[in-house]
Amino acid sequence: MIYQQLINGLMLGASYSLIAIGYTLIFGVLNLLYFAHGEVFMVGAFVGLYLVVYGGANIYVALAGAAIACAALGIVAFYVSVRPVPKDRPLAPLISTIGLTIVLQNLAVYIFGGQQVAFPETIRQELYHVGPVTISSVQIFILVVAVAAMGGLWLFIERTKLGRAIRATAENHETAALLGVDVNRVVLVTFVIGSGIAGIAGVLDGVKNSGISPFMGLGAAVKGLVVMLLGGLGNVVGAMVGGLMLGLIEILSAAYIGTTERDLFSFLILILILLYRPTGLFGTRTAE
Amino acid sequence: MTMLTVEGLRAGYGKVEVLHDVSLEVAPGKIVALIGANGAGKTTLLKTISGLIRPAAGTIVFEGRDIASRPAHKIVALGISHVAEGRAILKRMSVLENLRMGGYVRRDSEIESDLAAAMARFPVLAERRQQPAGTLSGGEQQMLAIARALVARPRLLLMDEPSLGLAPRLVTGIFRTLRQLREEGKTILLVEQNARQALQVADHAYVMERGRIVLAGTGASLLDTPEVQRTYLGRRAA
Repeated sequence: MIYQQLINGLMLGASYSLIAIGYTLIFGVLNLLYFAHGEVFMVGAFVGLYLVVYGGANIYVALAGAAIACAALGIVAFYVSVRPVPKDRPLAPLISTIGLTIVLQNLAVYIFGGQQVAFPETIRQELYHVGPVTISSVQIFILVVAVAAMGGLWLFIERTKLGRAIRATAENHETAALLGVDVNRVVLVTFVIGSGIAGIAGVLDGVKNSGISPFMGLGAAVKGLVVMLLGGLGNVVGAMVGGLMLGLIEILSAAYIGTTERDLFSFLILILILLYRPTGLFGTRTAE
Repeated sequence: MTMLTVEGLRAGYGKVEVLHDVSLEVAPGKIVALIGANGAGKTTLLKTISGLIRPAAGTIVFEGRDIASRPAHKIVALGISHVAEGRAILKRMSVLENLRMGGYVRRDSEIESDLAAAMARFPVLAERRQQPAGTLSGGEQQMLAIARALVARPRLLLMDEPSLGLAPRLVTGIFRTLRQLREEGKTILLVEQNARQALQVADHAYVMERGRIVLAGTGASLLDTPEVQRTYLGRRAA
């Protein structure tokens, strides 16, 4: 029973991690809360769905297509809701990205309809029994894709020149610029990467829950924020681990305490973190 | 023959003008010192040369090209490295990663040997290469900032208060490094509050007051100028 719950928790947490990565990357380089990220995730799910249903695409093409479409949407979001807003007003981009959230959500209702839409079966359901644990082919697929995306991102951030430039920009824009980093380009790159990963997360969510709706973004956005605070603002590895932890906590509390209290626990954790560890569990920076 | 010529420069922050009609020259292979009180505009001048601040008027010509209002990341690539005030190292990154960031503008294959050379110049950096740079002492951080700037192979180094907040023994070491760099053919524009040591090391020097250059001359001649002695060297008029 406990092993089964651990697997379920990791599954849930992996998608939280993928969403939080985008938040934390963007917060890292710009020091701002970019609220429209949840809607990018939602759009990713619909792009995946349309590619499968109308394009006859397999799941890999759907994932790649959603990642590309969301990366493009991330660029648009940056130029529409972040770039034009004055940098010396910390609350302004929060408001403008909430505005973008409303626009995107309503556009999605207009285009896709306000109902929950079934996500077609793209992976043949098979169940494997490993000792006391039952794991499905869908679950394995989601875990593998999520872990691959996180591992790839980690290598990129830690080992490549552009990854170093992102970390330098996250520490200090002036210092990065004086070393030759084109800061505006790096900021745009983080929007592209964060949004692309959110697109992948959207499709995985569709595959997992077999249904998506234009309103799925808000819940994802809030969980992503909790995970970012849990892992420490701007800390990519923190977001990965924090997501898995939140998933485990939610599933275990649902299993042993009660399903209705699941979200209650994530917000309880948020409050505890803000009170006692505002830098996050692995944090390097204080929440302001 | 000059390397850097600044003429009629006006710049500041927003609507507040800090530099009023500043002109100066830096000849290749020399150390040029810029001294003056806090708030005189020394840091603003360096930031405007390195592209962090866009000038409102005036020209900045480096090796024959007007670089005024080019973005900072392009100016580094032209060969000007700015070692900012307050040891602007990347604290969360390791010492080695900081040095690698110094080579960000380069595309050649000799970066590795330059990293080794940087660590040979400051052996303590080699010992701590894997440590987060934020764990270094103040003096070590300043060494890292200078070493990192050198990895870019700049022809002109802008140095903002390299001795600020360091113990006297370390200050001597920093000035020794500046002399070594000049012997190696580097050109340095040095901003310092430590006027005496700056003038002693400088080939040429300028004194700034309230956003204007008010005096210029060789380092030695300024050391002998009564006004400089009174205001910046703490010596009473005889």
